[in-house]
Amino acid sequence: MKRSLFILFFLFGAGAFAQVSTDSFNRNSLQLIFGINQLKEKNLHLKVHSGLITGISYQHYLKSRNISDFDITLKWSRVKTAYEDLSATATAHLTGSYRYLFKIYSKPDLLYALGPETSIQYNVCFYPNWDESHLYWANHIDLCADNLLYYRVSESGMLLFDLKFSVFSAFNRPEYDRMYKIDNTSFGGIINNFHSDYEFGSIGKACQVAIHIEYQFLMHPKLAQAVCYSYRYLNLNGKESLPFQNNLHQVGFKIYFK
Amino acid sequence: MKKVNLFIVMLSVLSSCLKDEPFKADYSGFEPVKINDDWELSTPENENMDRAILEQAYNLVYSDDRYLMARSLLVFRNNKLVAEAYPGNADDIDAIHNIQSCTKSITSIMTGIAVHEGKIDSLTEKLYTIFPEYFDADINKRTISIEDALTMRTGLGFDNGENTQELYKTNSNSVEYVLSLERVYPSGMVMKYKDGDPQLISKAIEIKTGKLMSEYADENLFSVLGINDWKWESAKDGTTFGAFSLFLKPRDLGKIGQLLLQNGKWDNQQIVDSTYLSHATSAKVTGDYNEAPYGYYFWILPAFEGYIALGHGGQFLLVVAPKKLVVVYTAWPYTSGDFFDLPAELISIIINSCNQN
Repeated sequence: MKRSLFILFFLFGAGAFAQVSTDSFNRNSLQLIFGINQLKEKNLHLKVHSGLITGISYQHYLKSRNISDFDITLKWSRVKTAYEDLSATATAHLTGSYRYLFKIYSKPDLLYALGPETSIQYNVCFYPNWDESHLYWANHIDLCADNLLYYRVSESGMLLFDLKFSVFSAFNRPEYDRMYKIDNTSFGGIINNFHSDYEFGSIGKACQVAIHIEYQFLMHPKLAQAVCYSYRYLNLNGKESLPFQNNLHQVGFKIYFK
Repeated sequence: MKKVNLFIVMLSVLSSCLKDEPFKADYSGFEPVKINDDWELSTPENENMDRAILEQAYNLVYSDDRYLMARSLLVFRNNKLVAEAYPGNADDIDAIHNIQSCTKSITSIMTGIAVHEGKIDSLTEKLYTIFPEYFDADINKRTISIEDALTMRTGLGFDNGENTQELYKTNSNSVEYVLSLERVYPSGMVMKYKDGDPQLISKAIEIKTGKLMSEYADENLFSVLGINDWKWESAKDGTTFGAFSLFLKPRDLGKIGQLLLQNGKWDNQQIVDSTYLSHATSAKVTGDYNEAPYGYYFWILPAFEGYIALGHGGQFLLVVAPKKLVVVYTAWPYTSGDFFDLPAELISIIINSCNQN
C-alpha cells in the first residue's frame, strides 16, 4: 500500500494537491541531492577542483511553538582539475545541524522566522594526484544566523526561501607545511587530527553563506514533495594553513512526511 | 525594478564559481637577495654564464603547465649564489622542504663522514656483524655488506609502493622489518632501487657512532656547514629514516652541493672521506628502472661529468665539478609521478648556460 502510494505520489504528486498552510514545516523530510562541487585547496595549489556531488539529507523536526529541527547530511563527490583526465580526487562532507527559529511574522500565507543555527561540518578530501601522502580537511563548527521565509503561492504550493550565514566559527585545517611525510591514518590518528588545534574566527577567517530555495507541493496532509535549489559558499583562512574555498550548487528532490 | 534586482542577484548566485589562479607567482627575475646566511651573491655575467640561457630555465619553472609544483630553483657557480627564485611562494626562501629521496644522498654523505672518522673501517663489512640481533633465520641475508646496501643490492624484496608505508608505520623495529622481507636475489648481485636499504645504512651508522644518524649529521655536517634549521624524521623505533624525510632550506641544500664539489672539504677542513666520495659519485651499478648509472645513493650523469641526488616531485641536487656548478631544485614533495617533470630539460639548459671558466 505504502509503495503504491509512493508511486502515485511520484507520478501524480504535483497534480494531487491538498491545501497547504505555512505550518507545513512541521514534518520530517528526506532529500536526495545532486550538484556541482568546486573546491580550492590552497594548501596544495590555486587551481579549482570541480565535479559532481551527490548525497542524502534527513531533517527531523521537533515540536515547538516556533521552528526547531535537526538536519544531518552526507555528501560525496569526485572532482578534478583541468590538468587531470580522470577524477581521482574523492571528497566526503558530513554535516549535522540544529536550528531554532523564532516566528517573527506569521500569517496563513506568509511566515518569516529568524534565529540561530549551530552546525558541525566535516569536509574531508584526498587528492592522490597532488598529494599521495596526506588527507586534507576543512572541518568547522559554526554559529549561524538563519532567515526563513515561507510564502503560499497557491492553494497547494509553498515557496520557501532560506538564507543563513556564519557569525562565529571554530575550524580545523591541516598545516600548510606538514612536518611529516605520511599522515597517521589510524582511526585514532584521524580523529585526533580532526579535533585538535581549532582556530576561532568570524567572517574574515571563516565565512559560510548558504541559500536554499524550495517549492513544496502538498498532496496529502501528511505527505509533500519539494524541488530544491541550494547554493553554499565556504571560505576558511587559518593561521598555519592557506585558504580553503568550497562553492556548491545543488538541486534536490525532497519528501516531507509526518 | 525590485524584480530586476532580485533577478540579477539570483543570476549572480547561479553563475558563481571559483576561478583558477596561476600555479605560480609572477616571474620577476632570478637575482638572489641578501639574507642572513653565508652565501656570497653574484651574477651570471660575473660567473661567466649566459644570462639569456639561464633565463630559459627560470621561464620554464615559472610556466603554468610545466614543473607545476616547483618551489625553488637555485644556481650556484664558483661557490657563489648566482640565481634563485621561488615560484610557488616567496616565503619558501626561508622554509624547510622535504627533499624526499634526495635524503638517500645525504645518508651516503653521512657514511662518508663515518668512514672519515674511522667509525666505519670497510664498506665490505657485513651488516650481520654490526646488528646480528635484527636478522631472521635466513642465513643467506647475513652476507649483505654495507656496500651492497649503498648500491641497492641487498636482494631484499622491499617494494616502495607497498613497503615504504609499512616502514613508516611499523611499530616494530624498522630494521627488523626491512630484514624480515623475503630475499629475492642473492646479495650484491642485482640493483633494485628501494627505500629499505638506506634504513639499514642508517642503523649501521647509528650503531657505529653511538648516535642516531640525525644527531650525527647535526654534529658533523649541519653545524659545520652552518645549517641550523632542519628536520629529519625517524621511524617509530627512533632510527632516522635513511631514504626520505629530511627537510632542508634550499640554500642549505646548496651548501651540501658545494661540500660535494669541494670533495668533502669545508673551510679547509676535510669532513667527508674524499676517496669514499669519489666512489660514491662514480658508477657502481645500473639502475633497475632507468638503466642509469648509480653510485652510493647518487645518480651519475656521465654526459655532463656530474652527478645528482633525485627526490620525489622531481627535486634534485646537481653537482657538475668541471663547471664548478651546483643546482638545487625543490618542488612539492608529495605529487604523484604523473604530475611532476623530470629534471633532464632543466639540467641541460642550466649546464648549457655555463661558459668555460
